[in-house]
Amino acid sequence: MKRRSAGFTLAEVLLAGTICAVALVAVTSAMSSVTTSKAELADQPVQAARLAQDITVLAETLPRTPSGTTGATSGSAVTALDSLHNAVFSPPIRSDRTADSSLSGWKQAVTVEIFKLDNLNTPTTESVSTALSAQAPRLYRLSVTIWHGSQKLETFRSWCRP
Amino acid sequence: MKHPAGYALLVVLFFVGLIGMLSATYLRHVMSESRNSAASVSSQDAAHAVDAALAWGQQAALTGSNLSNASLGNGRSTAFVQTADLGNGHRKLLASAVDGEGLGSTVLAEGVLMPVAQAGSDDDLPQIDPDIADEIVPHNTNNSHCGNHGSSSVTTTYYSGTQRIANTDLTGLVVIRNSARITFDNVTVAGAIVSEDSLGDAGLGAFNANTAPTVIVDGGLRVSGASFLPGVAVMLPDGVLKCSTNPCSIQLVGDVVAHTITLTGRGCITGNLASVQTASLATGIERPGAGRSPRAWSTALQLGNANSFRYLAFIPRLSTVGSLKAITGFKFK
Repeated sequence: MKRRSAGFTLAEVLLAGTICAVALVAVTSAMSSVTTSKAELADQPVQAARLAQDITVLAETLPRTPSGTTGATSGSAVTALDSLHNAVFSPPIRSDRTADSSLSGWKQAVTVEIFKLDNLNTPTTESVSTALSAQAPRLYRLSVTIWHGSQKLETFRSWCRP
Repeated sequence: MKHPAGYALLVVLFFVGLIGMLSATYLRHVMSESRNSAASVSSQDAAHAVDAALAWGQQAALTGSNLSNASLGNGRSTAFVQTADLGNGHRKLLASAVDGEGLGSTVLAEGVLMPVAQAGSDDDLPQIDPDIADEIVPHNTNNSHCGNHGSSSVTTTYYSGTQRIANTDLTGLVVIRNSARITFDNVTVAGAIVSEDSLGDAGLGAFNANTAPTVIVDGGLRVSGASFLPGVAVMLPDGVLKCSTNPCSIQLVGDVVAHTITLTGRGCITGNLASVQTASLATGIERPGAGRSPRAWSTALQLGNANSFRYLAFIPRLSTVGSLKAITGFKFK
């Protein structure tokens, strides 16, 4: 009887190599999807909420006396609450009105509407550039839509007093 | 060294399994983080909804409307707010919000409405309580150009036209007629200076600079207040209080209300200020205690419409036995 020599058979090596290759491809693919999912499920919502909160905090500090100019596109153009109406910031701005250039590809789109206290479902037709008394029975509603690239992530709404 | 048959395959399978376990662990970490971030955003959203509810509640209380509750959403959470009038300017607000994850936030707050320093119109300024005005207004107001006219208890002096009052000590109520321009020079008033219309029941209407009762301080003026109008020094909601171009010295003990307040020189004001135009005070005019804490307004005044919450105190909610059981019995997913 011929004695078997030490080592691996060709069949073992081929089978092991095949399993390794399949496993490597599967794991690489899975890790790639998981990383993408992590960005979409964990990181982006938090980032979007933070960007919306920056606008909300900024709105609280802005003068209510209208500037007469809407549609700001940079932090320096935001001088009163009505500046935020139809404003688009890309790169997004922080609550201190400075641009966050590290977030290229992100965008904040803001609209401001006026609601009566007894009807919070339908905005009034009043212009946000019309001065409201601090005692007016009205509330401003800010809608901040966050975009990442061409993907619309979320619209956050907040309410503030005249 | 001799290896048993299939050894290489076993080793490979072991490492594949190991990598699989590591990958699964990372996947679970990602899922957990995703859930946490969603919950975090959702919880933050509920807190913002409560803020929105408080904004609604404060505005509803300010406007004096009969609105007592509302629900409002911010896209992801829905908040509910209730307001209640506790009397004497006190308002209670209860706001709560629950998000889609079942996370929520509730706050209970009480606040006091106080006049703001600047009002939108004369009629929004604090006014003399009509009952007190009825008590101190002389029965016969059909008086002449100038002179003393007494009610049963309060000495009242009317001034009209353009006059200069110098080196005089006055007692009681000093009433400035419409269109009057009175200059006080070295005058003390043991009482209060008021405009004629501030004692009436009718609204003050739009401010008219030509007919506004005007008090001009030239030299010195001291108004020390009196018990018939406690805590009030100057009440000219439809008028003007200002210093002349000469350096003036003032001491006003009590609240000062005027459409326009422009005081230069030196002195002090011990009381609250309210005006329609932004008050202009020289740095030499001190306001002891102002800004340290809310100063009570005179009880003889109705505080008008130009109110704001002076403070909003958040009250901790007491947990009931039932809610504690619910908290301790809650199982995290």
